[in-house]
Order: sequence, then C-alpha cells, then structure tokens
Amino acid sequence: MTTRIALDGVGGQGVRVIAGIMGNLLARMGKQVTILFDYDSSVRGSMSDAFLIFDDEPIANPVVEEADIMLKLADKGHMRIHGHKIVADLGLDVPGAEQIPFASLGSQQFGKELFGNMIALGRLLRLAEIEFDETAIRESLPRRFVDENLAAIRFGYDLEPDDIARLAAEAPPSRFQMNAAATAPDRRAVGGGLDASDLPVEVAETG
Amino acid sequence: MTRRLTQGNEAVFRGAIAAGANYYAGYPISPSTEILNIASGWAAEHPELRFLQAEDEIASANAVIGASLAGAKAFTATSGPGFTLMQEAIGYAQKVGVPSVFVDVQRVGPSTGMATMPAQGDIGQVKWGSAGDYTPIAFYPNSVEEAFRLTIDAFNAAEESRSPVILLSDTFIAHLNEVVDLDELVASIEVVPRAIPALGDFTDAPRFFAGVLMYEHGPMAGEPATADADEYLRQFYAAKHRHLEVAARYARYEHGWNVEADVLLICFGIVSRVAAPLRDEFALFRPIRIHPVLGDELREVCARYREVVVVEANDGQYADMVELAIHRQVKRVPLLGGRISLEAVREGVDRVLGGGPSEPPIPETPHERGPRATLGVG
Repeated sequence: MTTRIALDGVGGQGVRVIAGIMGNLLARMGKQVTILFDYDSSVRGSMSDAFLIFDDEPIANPVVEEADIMLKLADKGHMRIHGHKIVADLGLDVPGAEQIPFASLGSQQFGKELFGNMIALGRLLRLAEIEFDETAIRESLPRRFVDENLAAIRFGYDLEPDDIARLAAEAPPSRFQMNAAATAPDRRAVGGGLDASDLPVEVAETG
Repeated sequence: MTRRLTQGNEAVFRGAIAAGANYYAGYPISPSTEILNIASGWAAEHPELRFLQAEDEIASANAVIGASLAGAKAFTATSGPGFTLMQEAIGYAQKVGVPSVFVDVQRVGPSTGMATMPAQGDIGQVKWGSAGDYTPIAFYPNSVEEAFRLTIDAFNAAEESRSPVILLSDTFIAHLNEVVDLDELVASIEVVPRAIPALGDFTDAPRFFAGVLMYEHGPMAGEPATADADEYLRQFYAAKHRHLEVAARYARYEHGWNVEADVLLICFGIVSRVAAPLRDEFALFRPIRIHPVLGDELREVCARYREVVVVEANDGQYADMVELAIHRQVKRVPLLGGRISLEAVREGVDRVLGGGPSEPPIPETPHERGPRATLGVG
C-alpha cells in the first residue's frame, strides 16, 4: 500500500529533518521510500516542503499532490496539495485539520519550541501506522539530543484524540493566531495612520 | 550491503568517483550545490580527489579542461546560468577533444529565473550553446539509481569520444531521495580508462591544444590551418563520426507503459516519473540519451502511434527535435514555471488531445496580496 505524506513549513522549522528521520526509519524497515524536497530561493523563513512516500513496491511518481497525511507547520507553502488527514500547528487556518500546538508543546514539555517538530514526527508515525520501534528510531536520529528527540517523538506518538483536544484548548495563542489578529482589517484601518500594532507580525523561526 | 536513502546529487558524485574521477572544480549554484559540497568533503578525506572551488563557472570549466589535459578524469556540476558561462570552455573542449563531464542540474530560466524550481530548459543549450558545429553527447536520468549509472556512462563516453559529455538533471531528480545500494551497483560497472596521453607525457603522438584550426597530421602538423577547408573537413568529420559511433553504444531509451495505446507520450527526467500514473492510458517513450537525438528509435516507435505528445518542462525544445527527426507534427505540453505535477500533465495532455492549444490558460495578475500559487507543484 502506498502512503503519501506532505510536509509544509518554512525554512528553519525542520521539515527536512522530520522527513529525513522518517525516511531513514522506513528504509531501515525495508520499505521503498522517496523523499523530495521543494523550497523557495530564500530558504530561512520561506516555503520549505517535503514529500515522503513509502510503499512495499517501487514508487513511480515522487511528487505528492493528494496526500494521505499532510502536516502543516506554516502557511507559506503549496496551495494545491490536498490532504485527506491534515495535522496543523495551532492557529493555522486549515479547514478540517487536527490542531496540535506543536511549538508551545515543544517549549513547555522539552524546553524549546523546536522540539515541536519531533512531536509532529511522533504524530505522523502514529497516523501512518508505523510501529514505535525505539531502537530503529534511535538509529535514525541525528547524533545530538538523541534522548530528548526520542522523548518528544514518543510524546507525539502517544497523543490520543482527547489529549489533542485538551492541549489545543489549554495552549496559549499561537503565533499564527496573533499574526491573524494583528493584521485583521479592523485593526489596520484605525485612524488612517500606522502604529506598531498595525505592522504585520512576521512568522518567527523556531530554529 | 548499504541500502540507504540517497539523494540524486549524491548519486551523481558517487558515480563520478566510481568512474575514476580524480578532479572536481566548481562554483556553487542551486540546485547543483550538493555535488560541490560532497566533493569538498570527500576530497578532505580522499586526497586522490583534487578539489577546487573556483571564482566562477568560467574558471571551473577551464580548470576541468586543464586537469583533463593533464591526465585527470575531471568534472564539474552547475545549473543553467552557470552552464551558460561554461559554453565557451565547452566549445574549446569540443574543438580540442577533452574528455570531461559537465553536470547541468536544470532550474527555471532564463537568467537567474526561479533558482530552486525544476525545469528542463537546457535541452537546446546542450546542443547549440557554443559557437560552431559539434556533436555533443548528453544523458538524462529519471531516478537516483540511474543518476549513478549514467554518470559512469558519461565518464566512459567522454573517454571513448574524447569530448565533454553532458549529464542533465533537474531540481527534482537532484533533490530526490530514494533507497538504493550504490556499493552493490559499483560491483557491476565497467570503467573505461584514459587512453590518450596527458600533456606532459611527451609521447610520440602529438596533441594539439589550440582553439584555432591546426594541421594535426602529415608534413604540416603543428602549423596553422586557418584557411584550409580540407583540413577542417577532415577534423570535423573525424570528431563527428567518432562521437556518433560512441553515442550509438549508448542508445539508451525506454519504451513502455501501455504500448497498445494509440497515443505515445514522450517525456524524460522527472516528468517521466510524475506522468507515470498515466501508464495505463498511454505508451511512453523516454529518451535517456538526449543528444544526439535518438532519430532511428524515435522514427520506429512513433510510427506505431496515432498521436505523439511531447510533455516537457520547457516550451517545446525536445518537441522541435522530435519533429525534425520523425518528419511529423507532434503535440506539445509545456510545463513551465516549475509546475511539474500530475495535474498539470493531465490537464495539458487532455487539452492538446482535445484539439486545444499547447499554451495553458494564463492566470490574471492578482489585485491584492495573497498566497503565491507559483511555488513548486502548486
């Protein structure tokens, strides 16, 4: 069976790292894997996407247009990719998406927002029905922060629907929500002049 | 056994090493840069590979030529704009007969264009990029494993033809990761050794290194032949025949999918992978040796089909060459601006087979800022 995964983020969030670890893990399991990276010219802060496909058979088309699972960590990427199951960071305006506050969970649980990407990887592994093989995952990880990354992946893997709903409700507003609030038309129009709150808030990098 | 995820650019580099490459010069440019990066790291640990990051692509190409003349198996990698800067050197290498490999990882042009987006816009540049007449050999893989194999073929064909051979790639093939075991592949390859003496070997067989025409044989050997058409004909056809003879040994192509269909799709590189889900509806001809154009093979295969549709990520460069080869009009589906997607292929093929134009509908300029729709497959 073919499983197609699309990862959509901005440079610095670790989209390539998530895809690379997952691809290495699947290759270790004997699967056929393709990963295709797609990114804009100014890498940090602009679109960075990865398409990951795995199968027991050789894979013909490595480009994902219809994803079985789609992970959205930012809102600068492809507009035409469809996802059957979509997982998004909290506050991203993606209809039908399961919202998980990856960035704030990374910060709260593991001390750095960036660990949110490993929580996301854990959730992806669970949704893709890949067995949590600690030894194989450990061997697929970069050499630094192995224990911390493994714990974050485990955290994401173990999330149940009830946990996800609760965490989303309890989480502080995400940068995407603040960004949307700061650039809303009713705020931009006040007094005809500009103050700091009228400036669009750039999506900060988690890297 | 080392079965692991390997990137297209890495496979090219590993293929070069397997083919005996011992000199790399280059200048970084997306989407080829990984080849330079890997070469740099490799050279630090394997002193038999000499590495130069030159000041630009002109210097890189000339350094490769110099290294080859001095006896090295030399190569460089670049993308369209860098390949343009290398054209003068490539013409010289064609004139003088310099075995070498130039890797062109295509992106959207002209000029700087869309630096990280995939395209196939250099099909014509490979053939006609430098001054005068010459007969280049060029290959174009569509997988990581084939990138490895064809790089070795490129080095071998370069030695046999004594010419700069071009390995074409594209952003997506370059950045595609697939599970392969290159160590296992290495065991089955054959490497053609350097057969001509190096500059400095001072053998009895003279070699000439001037860009101007000089007598190479006979009583006037070494004297200028800058006004002698007879000598030009001797040298031009000797090189052309040699290149064609070598190219014939590498007449690589794929004819498959539904060969009983009445429409043949011609596509290559990443486009042939993206279009593969259409394999039940259409037949496929995938040229792997892009130059010289596979004339006999195209004529034989195209004659079996009612319609021939060339789908390529440029505005019909290979389609022009197919029409010249088969003396018949083909339909064209240009995939432009980096939009290499199954949806774009399907829309384009349906449009032209329905009697519509090659040009896709042109979107209007947006009136407000909004999400950009032109990224990648978007």
